[in-house]
Amino acid sequence: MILVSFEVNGTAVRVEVEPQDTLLDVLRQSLGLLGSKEGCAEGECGACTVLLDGLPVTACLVLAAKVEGCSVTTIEGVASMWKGEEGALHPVQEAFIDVGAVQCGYCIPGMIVSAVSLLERDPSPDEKTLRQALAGNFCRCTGYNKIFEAVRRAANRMGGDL
Amino acid sequence: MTAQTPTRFGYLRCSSLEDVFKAVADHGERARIVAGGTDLVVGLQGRRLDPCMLVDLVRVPELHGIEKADDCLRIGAATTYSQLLESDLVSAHAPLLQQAAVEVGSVQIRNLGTLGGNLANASPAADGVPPLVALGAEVELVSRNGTRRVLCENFATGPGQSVLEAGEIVVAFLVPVCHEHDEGFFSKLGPRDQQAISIVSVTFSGRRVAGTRRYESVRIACGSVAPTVVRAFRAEEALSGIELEPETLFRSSRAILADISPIDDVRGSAEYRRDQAVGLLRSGLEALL
Repeated sequence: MILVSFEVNGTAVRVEVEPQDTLLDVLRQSLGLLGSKEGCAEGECGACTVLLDGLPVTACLVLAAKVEGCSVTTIEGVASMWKGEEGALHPVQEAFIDVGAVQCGYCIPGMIVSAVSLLERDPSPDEKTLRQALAGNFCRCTGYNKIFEAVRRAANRMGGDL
Repeated sequence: MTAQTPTRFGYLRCSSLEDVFKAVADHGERARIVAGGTDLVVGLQGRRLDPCMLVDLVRVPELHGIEKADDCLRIGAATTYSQLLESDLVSAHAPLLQQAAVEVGSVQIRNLGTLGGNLANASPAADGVPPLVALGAEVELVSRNGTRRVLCENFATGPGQSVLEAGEIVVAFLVPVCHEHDEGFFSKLGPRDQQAISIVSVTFSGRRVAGTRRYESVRIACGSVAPTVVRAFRAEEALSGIELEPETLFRSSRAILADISPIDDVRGSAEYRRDQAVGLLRSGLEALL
């Protein structure tokens, strides 16, 4: 067992992990954060996307032992990245609801984390940038048009002009 | 402790090259180097990897940073594809690396995967390696016994096999900086734009003779068409020093067929790969001209 200290959604945590455990295993099983989903478990589908030191990564490919001293943001912590009212959702989350971008929902946590990360870096991305930023997130209900529409709407609300 | 203690995984986070050398010396064949982990963790997830000592070198300072020294860019082996894409030095002096980097995996993979890991794993389908080969880059291999430099095109010896010796670490790349008339392309065929393993990739680098359709110093590298990423020497010869005309480009590009030895596999047939290698070379050159 290895003791790993890192930050999850702004809270310091200390967990014991096995060398071969992934960050996704630890988030879901040790920390009870069930928002990040396991889809393919090999970095293809993006359902487990989280921010690691601010950058989107597939948590299924990150060894938990690697995140010592790092800061992790999961879908559960996305709302507090936006300075809204207490308890309010992130504008990207609201836009997904308003547009009806969610079908079965399994890909949505990863989709939203990727979209939030994109808009943090580029508040008004062009269409190509938007599609490229979400290319690592698969939706097998194939609801991509509504998803892209939701991200465009969120960009608008957040002050960009996509 | 009893003799029945099962062999287990271990993990060592190294913060210096000496830590890495020691870990590798202590654990011998059980040691598995981890950088970004995008290939290795897939093996762990599928339980295809025997228990081993994971030696994480991503925090070793010598493996980081991109700097210009004389006529080379020195790129740390633990540089991620995202860092390559954000580097002004790379876009000014080795833009071909960025053309390939943007096609690797997805944003999530580019934030983890490293150029050094891509070379070290010696996959014939590696997308980061052909531009290194086409640019004539060298890799610096360091062990306790010293440092040696190897041309990237001579690094891999077969699928997953390389000249890397026990105790040797991939530390940095030395990429010759490009000349003002250097042109090139990285062209990849996959089932889709992102998140796809190459079926064929062709990378071209050449120095345009100003005001002509002629190239000199042509170097062409191909992925997924041989047991390693390979130079296409015949194609280089056929395309060097002559005026490239649209009418003859197809015929000249067919020289690449003598350089490659593709196989049938789940991603595509050998015949398809041969046709596509010619096609990628021709259409890439057409776009340049």
